[in-house]
Amino acid sequence: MNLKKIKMSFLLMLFLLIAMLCGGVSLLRGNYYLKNKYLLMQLRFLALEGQIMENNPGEMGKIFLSYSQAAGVPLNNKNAQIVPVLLYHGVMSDPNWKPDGVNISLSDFEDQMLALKAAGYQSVSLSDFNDFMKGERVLPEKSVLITFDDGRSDSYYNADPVLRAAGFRAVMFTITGRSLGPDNAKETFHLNEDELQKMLESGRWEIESHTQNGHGNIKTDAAGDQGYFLTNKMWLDSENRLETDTEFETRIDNDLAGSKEDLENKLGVKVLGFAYPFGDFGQENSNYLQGKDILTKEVDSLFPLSFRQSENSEYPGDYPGNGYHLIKRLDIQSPTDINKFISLVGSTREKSIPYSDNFLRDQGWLDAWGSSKLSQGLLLTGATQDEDSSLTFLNGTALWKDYKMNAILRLMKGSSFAIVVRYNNENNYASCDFSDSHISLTQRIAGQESVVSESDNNFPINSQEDMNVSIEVRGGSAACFLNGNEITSGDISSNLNHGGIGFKTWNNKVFNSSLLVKKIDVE
Amino acid sequence: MDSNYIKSAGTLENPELIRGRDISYAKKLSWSDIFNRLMIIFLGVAILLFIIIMKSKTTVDFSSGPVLYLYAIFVTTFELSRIASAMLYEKSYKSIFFDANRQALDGEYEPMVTFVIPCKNEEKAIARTVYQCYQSQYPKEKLEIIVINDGSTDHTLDILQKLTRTVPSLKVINFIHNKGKRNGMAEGFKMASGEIVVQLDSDSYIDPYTFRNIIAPFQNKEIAAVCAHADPQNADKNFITKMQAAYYFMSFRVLKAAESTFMSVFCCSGCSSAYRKSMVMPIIGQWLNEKFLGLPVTWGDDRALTSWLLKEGHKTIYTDQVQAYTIVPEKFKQLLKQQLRWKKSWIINSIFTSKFIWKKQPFVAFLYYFPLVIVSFLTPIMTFRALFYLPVIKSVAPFYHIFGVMLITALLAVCCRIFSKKESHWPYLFLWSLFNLFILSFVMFWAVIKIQDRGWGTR
Repeated sequence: MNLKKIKMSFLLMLFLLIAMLCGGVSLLRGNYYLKNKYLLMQLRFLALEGQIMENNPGEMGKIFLSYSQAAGVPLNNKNAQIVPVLLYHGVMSDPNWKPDGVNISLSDFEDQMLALKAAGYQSVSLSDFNDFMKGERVLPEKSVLITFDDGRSDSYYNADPVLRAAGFRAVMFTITGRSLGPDNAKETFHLNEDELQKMLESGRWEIESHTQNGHGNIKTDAAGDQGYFLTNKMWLDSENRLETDTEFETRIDNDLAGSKEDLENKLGVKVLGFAYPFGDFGQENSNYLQGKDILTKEVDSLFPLSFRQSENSEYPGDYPGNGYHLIKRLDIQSPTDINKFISLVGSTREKSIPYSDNFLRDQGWLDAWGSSKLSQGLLLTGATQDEDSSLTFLNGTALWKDYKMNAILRLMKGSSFAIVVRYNNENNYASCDFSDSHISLTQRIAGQESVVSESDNNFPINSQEDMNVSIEVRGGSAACFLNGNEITSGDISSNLNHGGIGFKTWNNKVFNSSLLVKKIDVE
Repeated sequence: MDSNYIKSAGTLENPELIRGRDISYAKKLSWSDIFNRLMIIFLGVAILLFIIIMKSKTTVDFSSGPVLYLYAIFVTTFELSRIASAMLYEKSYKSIFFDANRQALDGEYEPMVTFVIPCKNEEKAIARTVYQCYQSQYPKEKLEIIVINDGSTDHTLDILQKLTRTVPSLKVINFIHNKGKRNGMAEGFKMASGEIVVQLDSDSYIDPYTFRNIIAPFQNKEIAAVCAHADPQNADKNFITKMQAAYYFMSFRVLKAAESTFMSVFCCSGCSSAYRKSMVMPIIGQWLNEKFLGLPVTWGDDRALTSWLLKEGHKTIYTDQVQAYTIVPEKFKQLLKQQLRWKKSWIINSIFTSKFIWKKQPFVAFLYYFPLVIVSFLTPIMTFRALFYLPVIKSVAPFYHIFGVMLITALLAVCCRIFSKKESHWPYLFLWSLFNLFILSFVMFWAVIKIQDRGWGTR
């Protein structure tokens, strides 16, 4: 071989090297399987799987198991009546991260998922949930729907190994303008198109809509104040005015329909769900109150299901017949108490009648407002320092229809209390009110309170001794009892045909009402 | 390799003497050999893939950082091109033994050979060195040994004078005052009666059974200098010497071989190289009087001599068929001083060489030498950036940079294993690589700063 041939060979090798390097670099850059995040995900999954396979679900799972095995909610309902929906945002793996009121730490998330797994929970897909809500599908009693908002990278990369190890699946609501927009390949905070595809391929994720570019603020007046995109009229600088009704509607329609198209065209998915950014469907402050109707109408027409965040005063779960829209989700973030979490999810399960509670164990007493505490077989509920009233209700009783509740209680502080039935939320319930020596049957419909009937005689409240009170609802009638005697009764609205039990206290003065409940029986 | 080619390897009866050289080309490859070879090649390809993957993770997008992108591609291509060139070495070496008409050269070439050995204060080693030369498997009447006593203050001169009685072909040149290696070599060349001059250090020697191979290439009329393959004699002394043993093997069998592919080795090591006297004499004066920035160039004599030969348009090669041994520093401080000298001499020489190399050898100049110079000057700066600037200012850990360097080292180690199964110090190549990355890069800065300091430190 002479020198010329050698030189040619060398040139060829050089050319090949450069081609390999440049080609390899541009082909593999941003490759999903080479990302550190991806490799870390695989490692975490293997570690967790090892942990689970050793039947070591962690301390919390064991506690939950003991809960459901002990005297508690009898598992006589084989299918789910109510399914809790969980909402997470970012999952943070940095051990130095401080809670920010939005995101959850990876260790808290792991604890929660492994506890659910150990307690026998199964996660459901959105389409199964949709069928369940339509009454077309039966779900196991211990079902839960897990959702994430915003389409963040840290949600997926940190949560997926946990979900995978636990055998769970989840729904990711993405802001399609950021995740599927023209520059999405450069996205690092939000997931990009390639990553969403990989998520779909894994079979563990469904990708749904969280608007196209509607997850943010717009200018709402000349002064530059800001408000949420979907529920305010935008201030148009160029025209020096607010949008017209039509312009608002067009803007909303374009964004929502655009997000649906993005998902259908770029990911090939059939879009089932929409999650309202910030949980705002118009109930927050807005410069355009009618916008709420336009928005919800548009969402209802485009998406089979829509989701918001639940209020403290609402049951954290949904059931067929309650509508497909504005489904309530439990917003979960750090700091979080794993016991409270397990109690919340577990107590969401529908309770059956007859039911009795001696308060030795918390079966799901939620505070709409005020605060309640269980201790030594007693429920103590009352107003907090800033408030003058309280309302606590029992989770898992949303579907109760006709029943009679007897309660043995004592008013410790203050002057008024009520026993609540047919509770749906803070604006819809009926109650027997004990106040100013009167016993009255009242109902609250869509926030409007009215007295149905009132006792003729005086029945002063004695805070030195226990009272035996009852309330009965059957069909459209309700009656109040004291010491077994019916005191007053009347008809309540047919709009209030189902709901659960609770207790309420109030007073003129702040921090001055508290009720001690010793036992209740429902039959 | 055909048998004509290995005829000049002396006898094959003493392969154990040939440490680290795998000269059994004539042996047919067994299945396990083939399997091993394939595994190693597979490993090499895997490492190359890893390098590409790493580059894809660390290299910025061209549009956002064109300079850094081009630099990364440039440096990696350059480093990998050395391996590519080294793979072509054997073909190139074979071609020396054929003339322009593709006829094999005679093979009966036995010219007069002179050993030139400058030394100072080597009373312990010089006798052995002289005897080793005398043992060379070559007709004794065609061997001549010239030792230059360069102002020794010990008994070197006495020993030499005694030796002249037992070794008739030994001649001694005596400098009463130390004149420096360059002057010693020059005198040796002038006085040499041989057609080929073999230059040795006072503590180095050539394995007698491979000696012939250093003479054989001179049959080709264009060859001006041949560099032997040198390994440290004291390789197993401590981890410092083992590290150097690994580096020497790689530096010769990969880097120098890569240069030899195009027959322009830029430095024929002064510890064991052979020169054609007729090509050296015309330039010997200019070489002696070389100056840089007003001061004489006190080291890098071998590098400078090779450069002058290249300037005349001659060819210089490396041969892995000649095994030489030398002594390397055993202490860390000694090693650092040596490396500092070598870097200084390289800087001075690169300026000199750059001026003519593009005219004489454009192919080598633009595809190797200029890139080499650029990489050599840029690497310390980029190392500083990766090890100090980025971690301190941008909180970017140098993990990827170090890992990338180790990958290239791994590839070089794989090459060394392919070239010789017997070379056992290759794991220490990683140690050398770390040494090079964390210490020698910054010695380069120091070399530039201290370039006018022409002392030796201590040898």
